[in-house]
Amino acid sequence: MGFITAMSSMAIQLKANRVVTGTKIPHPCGDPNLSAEADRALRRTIMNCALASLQTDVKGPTMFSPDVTFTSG
Amino acid sequence: MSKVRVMHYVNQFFAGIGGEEKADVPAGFLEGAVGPGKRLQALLGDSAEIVVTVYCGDNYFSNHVDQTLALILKIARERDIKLVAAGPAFASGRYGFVCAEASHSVSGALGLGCVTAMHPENPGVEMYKQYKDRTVYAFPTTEVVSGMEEALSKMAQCISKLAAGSIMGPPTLEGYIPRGFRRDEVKSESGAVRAVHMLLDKISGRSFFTEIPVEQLEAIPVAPPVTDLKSACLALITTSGVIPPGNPDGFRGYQDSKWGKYSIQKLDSMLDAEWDVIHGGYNTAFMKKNPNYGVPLDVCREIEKESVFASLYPSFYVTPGARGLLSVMHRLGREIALDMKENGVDGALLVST
Repeated sequence: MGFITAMSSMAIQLKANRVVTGTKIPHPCGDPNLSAEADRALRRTIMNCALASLQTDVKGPTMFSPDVTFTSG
Repeated sequence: MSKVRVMHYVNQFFAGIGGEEKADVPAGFLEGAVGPGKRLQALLGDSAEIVVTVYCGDNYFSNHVDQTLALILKIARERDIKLVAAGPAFASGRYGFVCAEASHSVSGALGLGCVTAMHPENPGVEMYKQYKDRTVYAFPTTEVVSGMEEALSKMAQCISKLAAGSIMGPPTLEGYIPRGFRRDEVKSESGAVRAVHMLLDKISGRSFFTEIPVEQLEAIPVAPPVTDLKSACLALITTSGVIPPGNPDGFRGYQDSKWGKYSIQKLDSMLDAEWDVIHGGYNTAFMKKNPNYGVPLDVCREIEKESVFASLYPSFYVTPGARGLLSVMHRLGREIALDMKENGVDGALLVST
């Protein structure tokens, strides 16, 4: 299981094994301040990272950080 | 003053009925103290009296949980019991399980003080920690019966204290296994002063006690990676509280104890249907506007169409994660995982707010 959350360091502390860093707590898979297109592209990047995490052999709690930028919203 | 009336629970072995061959013996009771209860009574002296001993076969209990607990409650009521002792169970898992269940039941139904003892790795300890009953105290014992005297002595001290109406102090003082409560207390020094002292102790290599112990979580077994994504069925889970309009299954939005599963079979995006969001722990305005933030269906369909993975499971799983109790969330996770396995799901993506 890939675990997508904005609170990824906490997820690691709680021993989740495949943690994917999302954007923000109220909207982990996107950024409402972006245009609909950019928002969707951001979501796609996060999901690609999540799919990569699923395919990765990990030994314990591991953080996967998608290469994204987003606003502070 | 009349002595405080105590019920003692022991398994069939300690009740003198028999060993493994008698593990199916039904629950019953004997007058007064029996087996280890006799020594417990001696240690209690005049502070309390074991008036009845309830016993049950170790195997019988797991097949007759409700009946056995009902009998224990009935006897406790009829005999005007004020305190319950259970065990010590040492490392015996089945015995420890009954001690934890019986204590939980008596504490919940009658509010009575319960004192038990078992080895810290007995599965009963896990239940004790999960139940977190304010009137139940479990003391650590050795793995084997050789620690009987020490275990009974700890139990007797606690029972005597409760019988006298005294308030139990924290686990570090009283020796019982921590249940995870934090209690306010008045200190003469401010938090800042205490923190500095603690830091200085730590730097100097002296021993110190934290005032806020962090719960130690066990490592979660690592699932093997999905090796053939192209033929995998993936499912989406969310703790964001995205649910069908009108909240048909009655989620509360905080401390929920159930999960739901809703169809997305005919949708290409969460925006293709109406959804509500119920969650007491974050600002749900963005999620209401676009539930793809919590159930990223739009891009998952896109990726599915590109045949990166074989198929998206036709429903998503949800529970509002706000203020979720760890023990409850463990159960929900197990149930969801089981449902996924039954439905041939190979991998899951969980989005958490």
